[in-house]
Amino acid sequence: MRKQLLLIILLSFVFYLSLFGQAKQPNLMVVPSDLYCTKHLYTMKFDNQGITEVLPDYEKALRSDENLRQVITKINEMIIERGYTRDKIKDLEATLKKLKKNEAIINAASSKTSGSAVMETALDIIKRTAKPDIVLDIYFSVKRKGPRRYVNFSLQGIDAYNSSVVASVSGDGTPVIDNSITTGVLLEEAVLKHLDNFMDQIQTYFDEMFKKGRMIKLHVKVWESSPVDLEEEYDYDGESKELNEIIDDWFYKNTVGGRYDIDDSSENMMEISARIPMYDNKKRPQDANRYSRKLVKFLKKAPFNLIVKKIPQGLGETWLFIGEK
Amino acid sequence: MKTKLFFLLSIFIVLSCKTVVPVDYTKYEVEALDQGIQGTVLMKVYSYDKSVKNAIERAKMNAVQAVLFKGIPGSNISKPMVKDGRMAHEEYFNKFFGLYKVNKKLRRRDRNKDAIDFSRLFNAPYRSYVQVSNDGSLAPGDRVKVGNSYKVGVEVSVNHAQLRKKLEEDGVINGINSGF
Repeated sequence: MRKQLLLIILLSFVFYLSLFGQAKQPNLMVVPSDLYCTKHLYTMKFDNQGITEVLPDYEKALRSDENLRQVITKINEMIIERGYTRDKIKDLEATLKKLKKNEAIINAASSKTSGSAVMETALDIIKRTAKPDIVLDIYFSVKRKGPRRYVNFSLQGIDAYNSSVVASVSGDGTPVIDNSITTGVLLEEAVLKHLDNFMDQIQTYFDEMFKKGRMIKLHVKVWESSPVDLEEEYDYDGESKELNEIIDDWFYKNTVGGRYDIDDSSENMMEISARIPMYDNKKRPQDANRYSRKLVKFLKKAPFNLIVKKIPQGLGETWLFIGEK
Repeated sequence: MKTKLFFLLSIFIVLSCKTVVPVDYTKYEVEALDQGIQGTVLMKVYSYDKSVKNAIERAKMNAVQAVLFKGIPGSNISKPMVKDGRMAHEEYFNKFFGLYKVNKKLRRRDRNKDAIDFSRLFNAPYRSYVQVSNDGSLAPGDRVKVGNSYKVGVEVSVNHAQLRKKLEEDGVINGINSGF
């Protein structure tokens, strides 16, 4: 009887542990840099309200550049070998194909998320739809020094939400004189030489994330039709404060070690970068979307009684619109 | 007879007064070589020991230690694998390098606290992750007598991918998926 009771307790404990959420792992995607695309003429032109803009054409690059494909494949392969969850590595080519297939859906999603006719770059569309949390931006070129050939290689990991560089490696490969060594081999060597150090930096970034919290970006905007703006005064905590001050205080209380920054602020908008806990009070993994629910609930309550529309963008970014849904 | 005895005694006194300069066995230098095969790092390690054989064995140990605690500048493992250092996991690494098996007699004989009898370390876990890349044959310039010890330069390859996996499994370092 005692043994059975012990077994039941043990099983309940295991079940509880399985319910305990795991933090969401960021998605990674390898993308050729703008410089690489421009240099190899993998670009397309857009007329943005009378101004011609040159944007990278990833589809063209992948269709016509076997070296690029090889480098992307090798990087993906090595990241998986390092133990990164396979599902969390988004392949650029597969994503582009998926985008093309679902163009109609994308257009619908576009009007829903942007809400205006602002043009999006190819990378913006990829970020919005495939939602890579970290973009691995690669650049390489084959150079010559006399009869010797070598590869110049650089790889940058960029946080897709706050555009901060989380990891970066660059350097020249070993010069070779032998013409039978293909560019592909030189590139593979360059990836082998740099990727371990790169992943080491990514590892440090993740370790820091668990220690100091996940870095997110929150945009607070006010609809034109809203009866209040961010300079509206409320009696809160025994004193009269503007709404933007109250939001400022809220972030101080609800971030890891009070780590947050108001990047930009006016009567109609606030941009906040904040370090949020990886888990919420119920021990569930937390991203920008789940975290911002708390702010929405806070603003919904008296004395504010505000209606707030929330639009999440991937793991690390959320837009809040005050005034109406 | 008396003179002979005096002569022998003086020789004994002179010999016993000879200062034995202990070799700093913990000293080693590492230089990154060209890219090895995937998952490995290739380097040249210069190590010191009483005999050439021991110095080669010590170079293998030093190579793994360099990957773990120092990093190899100019290689694909330029930063140390164990960020919080050896002392944070002292017991684990003593076992990993087989150092709990050290021969105390040898240390007394060599008057060096870092002397190791490598013949006793054949089953030490670290040995699975390292190998000498040129069958242990040394170029003439890579074997130098320094005082009463040898400085030896050996090309060594460390399988850092497997080493990392082992440390991740043993909970010594975080894996890329840790926490997620």
